[in-house]
Amino acid sequence: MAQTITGSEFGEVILKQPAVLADFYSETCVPCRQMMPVLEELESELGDRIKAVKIDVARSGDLADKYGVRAVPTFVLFKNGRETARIVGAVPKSQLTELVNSSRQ
Amino acid sequence: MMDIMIIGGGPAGLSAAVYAARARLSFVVSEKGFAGGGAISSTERVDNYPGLLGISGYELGEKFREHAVKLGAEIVSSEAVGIKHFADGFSTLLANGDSISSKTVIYAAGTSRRRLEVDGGELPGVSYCATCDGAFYKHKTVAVIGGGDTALSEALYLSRIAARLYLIHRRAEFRANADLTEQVKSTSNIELVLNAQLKRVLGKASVSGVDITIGNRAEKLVVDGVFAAIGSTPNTKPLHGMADLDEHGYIVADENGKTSLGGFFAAGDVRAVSMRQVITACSDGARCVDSAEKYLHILPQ
Repeated sequence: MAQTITGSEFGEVILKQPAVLADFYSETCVPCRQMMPVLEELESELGDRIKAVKIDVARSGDLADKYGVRAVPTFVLFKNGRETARIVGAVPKSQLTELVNSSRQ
Repeated sequence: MMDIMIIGGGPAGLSAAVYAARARLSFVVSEKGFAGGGAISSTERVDNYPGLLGISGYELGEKFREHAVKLGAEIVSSEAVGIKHFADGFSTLLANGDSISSKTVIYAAGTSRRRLEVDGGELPGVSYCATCDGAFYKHKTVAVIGGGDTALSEALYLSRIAARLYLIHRRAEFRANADLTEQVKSTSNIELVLNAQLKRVLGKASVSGVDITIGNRAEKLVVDGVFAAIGSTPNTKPLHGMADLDEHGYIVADENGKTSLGGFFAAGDVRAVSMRQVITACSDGARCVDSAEKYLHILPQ
């Protein structure tokens, strides 16, 4: 399952991984909770190709500000430390898979 | 072919599932994969469902779902995107590409939040879910637009996170219930802005304020976020004129769920009614199964 990370850890994770999918969420957000099993499924399907992390915007407001996240859930794809795509809102798994695949060339 | 196709996984659809299971009918429930539990799921606290005072909307939705599943309901997490009516029944097309044939349909697809139709209404920082996006506004200033139960519930929730909150409503009186109204009026950091029209949401990269008019007077309020709860629109797109709708697009059905089309029943928030509550949605779901059962009896075998 994706680990929840905060500001300082985030920098290390993003810089060290070729591809990271960050799920910005909040504890009280129902669509976010509904997306968690979807994210888990995606993670197990993709295995080592991508690392998924979760960011609680209530605890890591600094990261939300830094990446301009103003709604949850927001899924941001980072490739070699740089944002390449994002989806705002709860979506079917197929759209998340597309997001991940969009930057694989 | 199924006896019943139940469309919608909120209180109406899941109550229908419970009654259909106990009636030993064959059925499937389809719900939008990412929004199970229905509209009530995003309500922080439910104080008007008997026996479960103070339960969170999410938990209540989960209880309904567990109950239906325990009785044998099959729930498919894929949105119904089209329905066709044939001489011998219905075919429901799901977003995942599957089609499900059924003799009857109980349509309980609910409503979606009405969007703000003003300049700036699409800016980041305009939200339709306080329990989702409230976390961004700790010690900040927000505006809530609306005057019904949802708007006032969200204002109360946000008043515990934000430093200051403007509750902007176009009339002098709230439509919300007296209990919520009383709580809002006695919350010190909620400022009521009544008889006020939202004209525009201000901001470049994200919300920085709102322009409103109060009578002939124009005013600007500085806010960091805007939460809109200005009513709902019914989710009836897949119907394509299959059953009669009222002037606002809700399905016209009697108290037993019967619509203008035989075998097609409507339950919950999507039905044209004056009250949209969990308890009325549950009642609708139960009655629709009874109506469907009676309809199945008169169908030629």
